[in-house]
Amino acid sequence: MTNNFLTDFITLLVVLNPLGKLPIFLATTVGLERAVRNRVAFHAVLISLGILLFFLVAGQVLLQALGVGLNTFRLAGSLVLLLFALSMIFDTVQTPSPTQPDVSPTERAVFPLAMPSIAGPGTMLTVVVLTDKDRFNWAQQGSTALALVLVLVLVYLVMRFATPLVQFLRRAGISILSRVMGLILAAVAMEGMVVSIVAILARL
Amino acid sequence: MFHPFVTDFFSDFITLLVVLNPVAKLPIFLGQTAALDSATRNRVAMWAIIISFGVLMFFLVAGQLLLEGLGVGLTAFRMAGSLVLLLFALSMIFDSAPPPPPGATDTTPLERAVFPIAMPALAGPGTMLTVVVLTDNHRFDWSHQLDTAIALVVALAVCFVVMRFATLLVQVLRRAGISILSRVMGLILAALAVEGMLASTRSFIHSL
Repeated sequence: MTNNFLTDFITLLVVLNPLGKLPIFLATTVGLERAVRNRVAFHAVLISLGILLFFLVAGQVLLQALGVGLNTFRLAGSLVLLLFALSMIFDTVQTPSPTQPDVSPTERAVFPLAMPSIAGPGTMLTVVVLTDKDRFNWAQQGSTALALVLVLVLVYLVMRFATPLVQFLRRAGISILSRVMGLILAAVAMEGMVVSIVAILARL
Repeated sequence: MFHPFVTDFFSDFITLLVVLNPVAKLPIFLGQTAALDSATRNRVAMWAIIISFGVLMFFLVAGQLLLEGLGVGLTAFRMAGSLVLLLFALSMIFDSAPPPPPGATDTTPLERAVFPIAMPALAGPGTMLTVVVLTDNHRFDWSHQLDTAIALVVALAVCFVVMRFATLLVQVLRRAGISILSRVMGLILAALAVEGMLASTRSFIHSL
């Protein structure tokens, strides 16, 4: 049980990559007050937890009922990630303008933080695979859920204590960090696409 | 694990429901019916569903004949259709929620039910295409197509229920909730679209 828990924890930690969320978080919350920024972080983690727990419980049944293979899901998810990474590289860092008061902190937390970065396709897939209903009993799935909660707490802490970084990096630094991270994310996405295409071709 | 009839039904139902995406159409519906009392609003919802159903059933039955009359092969059509679906799914994931269009004041409730609620919000090009692809006469026998028609009816019934309880739902979900639902559904739709592209590519290669 402890062994299983540790494996799940490390796997989720690697896939979720709390530090990697930092540039996205910083770019989304540029120009916001500290209190609002913390609220965005909290909502993003809470929403991600909801989405991921939903996939933990119902993801496998949902995908099976739809006839979508895991490799297809990974291919589609990697495509989404690739496009997101490209937007990180090419788009200018969005400044929340005062003329757009209708974008609430919660909506910022939803996109692009919760979806598609924290509760992204990669994380959803990992959660589904780690709680494969044919291989793991409910206790093991419970320990995976616990590991998920812990990793998300880490993600929250990283974002919560990002404020000194904002002052240190300034807007230019955040822009650079976001673009470099985008390039890495694009590579990760390509890797996912290639792996899933190879798996799909092998089945042909 | 599941009987094919059930799997096909769910696959079709979810595909249609995701493409119809009733929750994301709520702002359009509410924007159009904001000034109406609840009885008239329900009538608009009813008419929008009936009109959408008529349009989509027409495409379900005759869409393919129409396309073949135009000389478009179904494999190519499915590939194109899946690509459109994929792009549609990506826009669901990446776009911010569309602002409600300004409500026109000089239109009757029925006209509003037709435009923009039935067309293009519910029975838009994406849904028409999906219906045609899901009932490809070369790949599916009539029982399967009936399966799809039932899925369409159930999906439209869900749309009606969503519109019927629109005011309540928007209060409960808020814009953020609608945004989450739309994006998660978008990801599932993207996976279904990729599945469709792979399947059509496979049959394209085999037909060479």
